[in-house]
Amino acid sequence: MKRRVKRLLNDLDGEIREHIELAMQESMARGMTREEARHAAMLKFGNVTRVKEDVREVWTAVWLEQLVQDVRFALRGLRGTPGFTLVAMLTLAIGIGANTTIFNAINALLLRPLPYPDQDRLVRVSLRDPKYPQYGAPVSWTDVAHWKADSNVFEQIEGVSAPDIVAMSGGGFGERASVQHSNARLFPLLGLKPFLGSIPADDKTETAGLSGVALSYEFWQRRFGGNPKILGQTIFVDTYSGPIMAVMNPGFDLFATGPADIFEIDGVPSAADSGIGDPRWILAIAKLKRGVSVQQAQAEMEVVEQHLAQQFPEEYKGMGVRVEPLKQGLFGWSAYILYLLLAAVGFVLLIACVNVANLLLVRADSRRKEMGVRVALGGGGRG
Amino acid sequence: MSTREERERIELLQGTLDLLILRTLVLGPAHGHAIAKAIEFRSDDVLQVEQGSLYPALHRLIKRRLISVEDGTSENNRRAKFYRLTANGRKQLAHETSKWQKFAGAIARILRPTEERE
Repeated sequence: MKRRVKRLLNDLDGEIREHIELAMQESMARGMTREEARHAAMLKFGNVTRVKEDVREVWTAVWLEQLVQDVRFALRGLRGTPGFTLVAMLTLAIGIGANTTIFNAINALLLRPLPYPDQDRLVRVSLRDPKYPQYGAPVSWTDVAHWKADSNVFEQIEGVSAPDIVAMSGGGFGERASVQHSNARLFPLLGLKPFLGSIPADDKTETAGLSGVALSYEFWQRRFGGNPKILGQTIFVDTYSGPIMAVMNPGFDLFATGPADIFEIDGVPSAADSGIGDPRWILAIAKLKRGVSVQQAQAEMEVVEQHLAQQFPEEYKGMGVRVEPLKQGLFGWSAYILYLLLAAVGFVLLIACVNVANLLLVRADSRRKEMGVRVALGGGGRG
Repeated sequence: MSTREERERIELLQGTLDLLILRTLVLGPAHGHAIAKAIEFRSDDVLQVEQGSLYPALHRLIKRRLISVEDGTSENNRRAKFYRLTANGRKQLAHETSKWQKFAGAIARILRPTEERE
């Protein structure tokens, strides 16, 4: 019915044009000029737009009326059977809720771009442990130093750790805080400017151990009451101490892994003084030079890696290297799990729908008497 | 159009257009323009149909399943919609016609010149 009507309405324009054309031809046969004939035909026909609206109204009014009627009837029915309504609503709500949750995670980790400029040039460089080829292995500050010195495809390559829970003290109290380590130049690499203070990327911050910390805005508000005089004070984090250099912007969450309270600014050792056995526990983040593709960077890094393997066999023998776009490098591992979960909750929703459909079916059966009465009274099967 | 002619033309009463359409279609399927022309011609041009108002009426009748619509070709050899009376429509026409005659008769009796009653 609906499709037929749609076609009828679509053809209305042509139909009216033909109507007017026929009227004009008649008038012209009686000696009118084309212009006069058109005028007369239009006069006789009336307002074309108005006519089209009236025709449309004939149908839309019905749909709307029926829709409103159906909705009202459905609502009345639902109010009449609160138990059924509650079960159906809960079933659907849980199914939809689960889907929304998983989709939110997928959206945050896989779909939405990271909030950093030059997205397409940011990459993660990781080592490939042949034992776990599908995961990027963490690297050490020494690895970063070597790559910085030996490769030619990166504008910058810096290191950063995942958040870690440690004890901190200073300002007259101690507490647990989550800490993320990074080197000073990571902040300009990602185009980040602190809310307060600054993170100088000079020789001191580049080579010394811990040179200072940056606080998250939230931690600064919570622990220091938003006091700007806190800059320059010494804070103890874990077993180190350093001055507070900066406060980050509100809501700052480096890689959407959960915001850290404190950023420890660590120096990167130079390639020359890199010791054997430096622990591998950080991520290397790099920005490609303009015009360099991920594949080119990958090729160059493989060569660099071979040289390193000859120079430092204990450290690099058998290790591969991989360059991949930052988002993929950070969250690629989760795609498989997340899509699997999405499929799972998708099926849960499907099952929920089937359950509700079954409930409706049972209810329809119990309405047979009602339908009988309807038919007997001459009403249709519908509400 | 002369003033005399204008005075004699009568606007259709609400709802009568539907009846006239049904009556016209008894003669066979027709497209919109032919229906409008037939109504005017058969009323000796007394009835004034704003031809556009025909279309909403046609759609109302389709909705009530009193007429059906099919594709055809106009005198101009162009695609046109032809409207056809359905069995329902035929029944409705008979019903409405007798109703209309009763109505017209009643009105006529009331309006009969007074001298006839005296």
